Amino acid sequence: MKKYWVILVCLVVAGLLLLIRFTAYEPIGYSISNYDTDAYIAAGRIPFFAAEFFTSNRPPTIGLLYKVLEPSTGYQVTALSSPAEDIYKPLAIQPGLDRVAFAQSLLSIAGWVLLAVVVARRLVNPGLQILAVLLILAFGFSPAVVEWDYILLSEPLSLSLFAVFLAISIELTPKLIDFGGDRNSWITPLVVGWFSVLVLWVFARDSNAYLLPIFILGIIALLVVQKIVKNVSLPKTQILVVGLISLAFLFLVHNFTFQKSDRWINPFFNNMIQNILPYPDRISFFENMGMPFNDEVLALRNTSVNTNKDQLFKIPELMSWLTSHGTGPYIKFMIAYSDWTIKTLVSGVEFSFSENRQPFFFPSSNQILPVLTYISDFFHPKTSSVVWVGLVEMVVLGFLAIYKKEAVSIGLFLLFGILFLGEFLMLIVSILGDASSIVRHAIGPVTFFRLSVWLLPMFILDLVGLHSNSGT
Amino acid sequence: MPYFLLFELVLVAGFISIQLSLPADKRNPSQTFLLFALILLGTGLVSELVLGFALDETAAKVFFWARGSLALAWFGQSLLLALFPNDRRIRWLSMGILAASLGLLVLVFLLHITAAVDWYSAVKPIYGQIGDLLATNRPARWGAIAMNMYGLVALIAGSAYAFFSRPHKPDPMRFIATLLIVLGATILFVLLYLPPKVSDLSFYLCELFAPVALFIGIREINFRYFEPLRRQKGQ
Repeated sequence: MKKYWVILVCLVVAGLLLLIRFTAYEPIGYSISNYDTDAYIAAGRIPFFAAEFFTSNRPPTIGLLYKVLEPSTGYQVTALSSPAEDIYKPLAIQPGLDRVAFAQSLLSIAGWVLLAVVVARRLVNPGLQILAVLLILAFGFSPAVVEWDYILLSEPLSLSLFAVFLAISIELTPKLIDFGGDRNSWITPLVVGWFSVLVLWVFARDSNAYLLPIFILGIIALLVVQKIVKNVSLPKTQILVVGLISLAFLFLVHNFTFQKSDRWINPFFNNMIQNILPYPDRISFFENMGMPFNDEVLALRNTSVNTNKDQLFKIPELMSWLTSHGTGPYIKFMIAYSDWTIKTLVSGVEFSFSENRQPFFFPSSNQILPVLTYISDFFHPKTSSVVWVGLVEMVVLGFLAIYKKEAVSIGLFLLFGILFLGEFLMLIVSILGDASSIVRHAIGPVTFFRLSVWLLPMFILDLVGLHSNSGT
Repeated sequence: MPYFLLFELVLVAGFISIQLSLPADKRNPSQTFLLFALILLGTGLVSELVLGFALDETAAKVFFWARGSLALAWFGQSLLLALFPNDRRIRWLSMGILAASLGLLVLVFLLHITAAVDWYSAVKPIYGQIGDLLATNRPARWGAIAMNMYGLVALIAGSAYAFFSRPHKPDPMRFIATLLIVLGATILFVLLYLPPKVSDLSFYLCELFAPVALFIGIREINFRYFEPLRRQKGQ
């Protein structure tokens, strides 16, 4: 009976927050485009089974969404914003693109609801279950997240897919630990779903792929632990090996298609204009590696990242050198200039957290929006201190889980540990990988770190309540 | 770092959830007082969050009542009830705390906002502004001071009693629990009577630390030392 009351209260809480989601914001289907939107539309028109679909200049998952949803009349961009040029348009129904905006919003709502349900299911304490639903939906339905659903870029899909991925991971982790005992635990569909969502998410934004090496290292660590420590609750070796091979294959496929595509060239040129061309010694460094610096290139020395960059694409010898050398020279540069790299990274981390709203449109004001914005600022703080708070929470969760010998909690600690490191690597890639639009590019890891602040205490408090109330 | 306020509220809400799910055999007046102390602290935090958005007369009154007058006393009474579960005087004091809390509720809701409303700042801590903001009559002001003094003395003296009076085998948790209670009580008291003027990191950390310390400390004393003793005596 008590259980049904908890479900009822959770439903009421979720219903109220859904009501806010549907009524406090612009109607679903409204959207705003950016210059990149045209590229997504073009990517969606490439045949799915052509290699070019995966090596075009836009990530394939976004192209797939545009391909699936394109009406026979096609897409028409009628509202375009470009914050870099101070061009702002209000949200509008853009023919054809309203479907994409609709899908983005629906996936976002479904993703956050799924995450709330999964976390609430995972918790034992009824009060914490209600609190988790409230916190997760308040986080996911706050302006800092919702407003992205109206923007026709890769960020909204990436954020929503991550919510789904996290939900499935939290559901799957305890089942993997219990695997062998419980055959009716939906483990196969969950694993298939987990991997499918992971593939879509990795191919939604290129920086997402950098979660994979950390996952791979995590699995290797588990395999080592399994060999050394006996009588420990870990997934079976076969599962770990299959997981390892699958993730390594996915990472290689992504890396291969990424290198084949020219998706990395635009960010490279941004870095080049901002971090190389103004400094003669850095130009010499790249010249030593054979990079051609002719007058056309040097003419862009003191321009901003967003002006005249397209000219670089029209310099054949530069393009030829770049496509033959890939991203390697820039990585060598960052290693050689490690002081600069570390300074850029440190300042970039703080800068990545400096905003919590999208820059593409001004939401139409209503009575409730200032309140939502006020609440949103608590859930999405504009400070990198959330990384430290999350780290402390991780340590507390890990300590309690190991001290209390709670296999499921240890599993969740490992999951969040991997995600924490992986998201930090993604943050590093977002900061160092592109000198332009750092805040937007880092929105994925930044959102994860902000979410961790509210999510991890639920697991910690549940563990505390479970043991202290039972006197163990 | 204003998000620490919400973070603290989440923790306090979590503590309340843990208290509410206590099994029947562990429920006692001390745990009930701890639950209400946490609810009062949580109520104070909610009003603090509301006041961070805009000045609201009801929120200011609720803050003064729940956090400014009662929370510390209820924490203190919780500890005393854990230490002396069958002492009739402590039971009468519990009734007194309850009556005083209800009396203060009436008194506080008779108060009015003063002219300080003109220079109220939502970004500054309410602790430093509430004194000027509410036209506190003497009974309300002295009632709040009496309750807070009672809470502070009960927590500090009670935790010292718990540490020194009962000979048990050496246990570091006993010292830690005492320390946590003393620090938590002192912080809650100091925030009220030496109020911070700006919302800086130390303010947020103090706000965060106090409820965590008191929750852990009081429960630790309740569970580890006095619950087994009470059972042993067949109480």
